[in-house]
Amino acid sequence: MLIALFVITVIVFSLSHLTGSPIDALLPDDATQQQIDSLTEHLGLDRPYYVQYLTFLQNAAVGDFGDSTKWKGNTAAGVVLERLPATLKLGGLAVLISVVVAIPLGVLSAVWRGSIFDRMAGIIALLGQSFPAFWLGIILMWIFAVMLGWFPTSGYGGLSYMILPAIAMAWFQIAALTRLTRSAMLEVLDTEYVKLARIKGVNERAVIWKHAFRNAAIVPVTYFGVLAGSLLTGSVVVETVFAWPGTGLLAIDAIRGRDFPVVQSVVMFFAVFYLLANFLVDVLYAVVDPRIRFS
Amino acid sequence: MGASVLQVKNLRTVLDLASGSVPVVDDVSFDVGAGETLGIVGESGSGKSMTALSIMQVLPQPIGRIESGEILLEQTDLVSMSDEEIAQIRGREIGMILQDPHTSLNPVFTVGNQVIEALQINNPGTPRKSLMDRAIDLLKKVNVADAERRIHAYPHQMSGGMKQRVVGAIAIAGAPKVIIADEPTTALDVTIQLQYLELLRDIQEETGTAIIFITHDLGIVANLCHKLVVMYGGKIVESGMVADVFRAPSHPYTEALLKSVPSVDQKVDRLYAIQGQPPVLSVDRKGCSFAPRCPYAQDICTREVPQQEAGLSGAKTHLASCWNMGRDT
Repeated sequence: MLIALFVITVIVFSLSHLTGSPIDALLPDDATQQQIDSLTEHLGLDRPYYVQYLTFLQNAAVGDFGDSTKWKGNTAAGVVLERLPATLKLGGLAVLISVVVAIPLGVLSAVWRGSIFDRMAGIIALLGQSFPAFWLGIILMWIFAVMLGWFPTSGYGGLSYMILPAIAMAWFQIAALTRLTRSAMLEVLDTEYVKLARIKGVNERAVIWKHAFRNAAIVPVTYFGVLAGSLLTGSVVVETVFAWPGTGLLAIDAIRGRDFPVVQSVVMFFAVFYLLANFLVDVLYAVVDPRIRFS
Repeated sequence: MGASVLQVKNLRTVLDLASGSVPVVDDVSFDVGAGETLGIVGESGSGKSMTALSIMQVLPQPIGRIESGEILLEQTDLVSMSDEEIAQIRGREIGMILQDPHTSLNPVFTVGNQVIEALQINNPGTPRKSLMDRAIDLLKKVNVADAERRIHAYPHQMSGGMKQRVVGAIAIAGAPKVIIADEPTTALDVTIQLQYLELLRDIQEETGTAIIFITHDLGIVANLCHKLVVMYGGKIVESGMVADVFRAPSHPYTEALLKSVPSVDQKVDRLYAIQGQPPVLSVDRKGCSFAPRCPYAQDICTREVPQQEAGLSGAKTHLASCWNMGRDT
């Protein structure tokens, strides 16, 4: 986990310097050479890259990514933290929708394999994996907000504002999670211990949800780490489409404004979040499967 | 030995495969009484396990189904029951021990949990504390040493023999009238096998349950069983009391099986093996399934299915299906 963090900091640092100099964005086109030099020196951009990197690392360790160059008077981390709740709210709703829809869909398609239900779930999954999130977002907006007027088109607000973007983010995940759950369940339903559970006289619902699903759950749990990560990256696209003022939209604005400190802190927050999600997955493994707990 | 507890009549089970409906159990009939042990013997693919799964109605889904016949548990037909009704029979009236203890226990629950679950199904509403005590008693009954501690163990922390004892405990949790044991000792060490068979015999003596013992080991049959049916290609080729069948094997397949059992007394250079392969499941079959491997095969054997006749021992219960029973043996 620490090594992963180190690599991330190097990548974040390098990438943000490849996009161009912030000087161009901060100063008017007719700025004098003297103005350029003085700002370069003020921001420390004249120092060698490794010094810049070490300074960055030192400050990053205490959560200090410097001051935002675009949103004057705010620290970069502060800007991100301010936007974070919006993203977490939207992401959380998307995760909730994905899990609540995909797990039953996957389990039941495995139980009723080959049925109409199974085929419909297959089609839903196929569509979800084929639609890009931004396209789906625009279509949802067009149908449910513009034509039917059920939801607001975009902007920040309560649940009604969140539903369309959350569905746009969740659908791809539902598709992936459904297929994974289905194949894991198919495998488990064929095992001897499921047969023995039936032989014991356990009723069918407990056979499926207790004996089989508990064993199949390891696969969706593994995917949860990926899920959490891709919902954040997905937020960049979907938040832009729906003008949802979260970190995704912030990242785009910061990149456009060459606001290095903010870009860096957004990426660092994403990375830390992703690592935490995967750590949570490891913990969940042990909860689900005792064989992992003891070895 | 009382009246028959479980009676199977003309059972026919098919698997619906792409090539058509393949009979895996074909016109099989037998019965087993309280305190009695019936051995079902045959090679892999002879239909022994499918017979057991048919009785429990846990055939592979969606391809397996019982096409015709009756399975009578004390005069009640199980074949015509609904899924809910048959679920009431499983575990309570009929218990079953599967072949491989390493795969038949659920890896994510403690063995105690799995025994308690079986007890709970049979005694709904009993407080968990007393179920726990009964689970410990059950584990002691099947000779699990240190049952108080082991009850909290997960299956992967136990040996194969211990796990199979736990499966046995689950099978007897509902005090069933019939226990079906599908090659329960195949996956165990030889020394453990013997202990396990003794355990089954003790349970039978104590509870008077009927046992259907599925195996390919004739040595076990001789030791444990009263009655025997020999299956080949989904059909019963010979059946009778163990003593009669062993004394006067009447079907060439039974004869060959008995010949393949190595003897301690006689030294042989090469162990006897039956020529050829077990029959491949197919939709249309003519004549006796054993004909291609039979040393006595005649023209009629490949054309027509032989009917059941009295076996060579002359005993009333001894039956065999062969065109060539009068051969010199």
